Amino acid sequence: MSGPMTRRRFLGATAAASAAAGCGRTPGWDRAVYRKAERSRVAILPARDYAVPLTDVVLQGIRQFRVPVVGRKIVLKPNLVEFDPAGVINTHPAVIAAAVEAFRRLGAREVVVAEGPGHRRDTEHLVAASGLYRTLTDLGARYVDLNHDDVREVTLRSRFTKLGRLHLPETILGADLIVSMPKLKTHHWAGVTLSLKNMFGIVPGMIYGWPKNVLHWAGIHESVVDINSSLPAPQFAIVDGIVGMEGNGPIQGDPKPCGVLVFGDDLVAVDATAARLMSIEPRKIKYLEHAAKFLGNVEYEQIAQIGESLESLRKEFRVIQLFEGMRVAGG
Amino acid sequence: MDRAKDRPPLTAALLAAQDADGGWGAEPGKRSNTEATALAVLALGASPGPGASAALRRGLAWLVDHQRADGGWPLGVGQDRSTWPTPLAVLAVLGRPELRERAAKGLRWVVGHAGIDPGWFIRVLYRVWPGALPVRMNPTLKGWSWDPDAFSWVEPTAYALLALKKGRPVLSGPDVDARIREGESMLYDRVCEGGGWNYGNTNVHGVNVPPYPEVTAVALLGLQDRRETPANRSSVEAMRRMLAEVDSGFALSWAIACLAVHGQDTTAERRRLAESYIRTGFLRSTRTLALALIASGSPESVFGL
Repeated sequence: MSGPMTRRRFLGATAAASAAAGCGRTPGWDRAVYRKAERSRVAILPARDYAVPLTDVVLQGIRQFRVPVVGRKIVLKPNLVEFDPAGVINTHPAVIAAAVEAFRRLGAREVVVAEGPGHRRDTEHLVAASGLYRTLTDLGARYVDLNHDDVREVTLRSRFTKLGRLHLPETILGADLIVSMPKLKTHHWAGVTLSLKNMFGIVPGMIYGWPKNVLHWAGIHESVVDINSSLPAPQFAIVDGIVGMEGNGPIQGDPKPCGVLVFGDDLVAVDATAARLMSIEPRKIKYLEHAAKFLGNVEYEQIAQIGESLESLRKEFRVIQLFEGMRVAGG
Repeated sequence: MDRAKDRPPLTAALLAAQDADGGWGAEPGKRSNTEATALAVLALGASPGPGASAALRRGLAWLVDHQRADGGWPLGVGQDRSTWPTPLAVLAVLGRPELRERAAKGLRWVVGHAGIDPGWFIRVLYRVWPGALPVRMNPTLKGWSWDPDAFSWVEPTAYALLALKKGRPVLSGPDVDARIREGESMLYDRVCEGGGWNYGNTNVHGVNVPPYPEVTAVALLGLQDRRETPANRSSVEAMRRMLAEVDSGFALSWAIACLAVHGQDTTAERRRLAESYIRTGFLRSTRTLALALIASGSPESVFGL
């Protein structure tokens, strides 16, 4: 590297060194356990704003997939991080409400909304101020604070970190279907935060703290993969891209209206597609690169798009300088 | 909250939330944990009433039963190592002559623990080029951590400082003083721009991160004997500003305790706390219920030095 060592270059170099350190390790997962599909499907459905009949859109999205719902316990895992009067940081309550209603209409035995915010212990404030408390009360739906749920220690099924075992909430361990409901956002540590990174929220703060720093020390990207590889139930994703966030996400970024919801039963493919919607190259997101080896599909050719075309909805998301290299050339 | 009027419903709710084993869980029906049990014991100890003394005795017995051989307390039932709620358990048993040795053992555990070292690379980098770190802090200062094998953060450090300072009649000495001094330095290093604390990052990638009222209140309680320090004064003011936008029982309860310890009027906050309970029932959080009961009484007697 020629030229002066700027702070940005230094951070980039340390990230590269960290990536290099991971090369050459033995495979971090049991090849007999994971059978990645040859192809995946992802649905991109339009939703202009939060006032449109979102339950219809969500129903349409879920019905594109063979999702086990009838008689099942569904746990919706939104992204709830900080109080945000502009409604940009968190998964919008209207989308969560639509998902509750949709899964109920499809015959779910119970639909629970569960989250364990990573920065803030004051869940009551986040849930009430975001409007989610009122929404769930009106729907008669239960909210579970995963940070303070009863827990059980489980063995991780992949070994990208050295954690080996993690305590996970009983609500997650008892789910028949886990629905990751992230916001379409940039992230100042991981590049983007979508349905896989959203699962950091299932790791209980009571054990691992605020922030969930144990995961950061173990490696953010590696932790994302180990958590998602070890989920006890089938997963589905509904990404709130009606208004996303660009720039210094996941908290201090700027609103980015995109007018879409993204659906899929392969969370890796969903995140790869969502990244492409943001004009970010998914292969340059380290956790997606890891996950593509065994959890799901990242390559464009391996993902069948349903609904709107990716190209027609693609937006150019600003990212912080550190992640400029992730952007697709020319947007 | 009206001190006399609102306590009975809170007390009744807290008594009803007690688990069969004598402890309290995060919510009614969840497994007992040390944090909720310690706060419930502190709350019932400060709010004597019908049924409270028997529940208090059972709660104390739970804490005694769950103190580990190393002196610390685990997170709760089914957990097998001592960790961050230990200072809260110490506060709950402090002042009970028959549990003095228990408190001393707990304090020794607190003194003997610290957040992990960031490693030589980060230490050297901080010395020669602190601007290269993505976060603005002195990572070599060790407070206390959530997980015993993790980095230092604000809230566990504040609990530890409060317990060590209140516990001085039980355990004192140069090692205690040294840990207090370093913990205080760590907290002052993590003060947000304009005052107040969040979980422990003041600036990430060159952008300031805002403080939270509940963490600010807890940090100020841990630093209450340094109240003339400019950072304390600005943080009390910052907390007052933040409270204008926060209506949760958790934040209001800690803030009331903090303001009461600082001798400030809390009439408006107590009223808002009562409204919050009516509005959300504190989302069934036993921890918040106990804190609200403390806040509606005389929190300065519980958390003041």
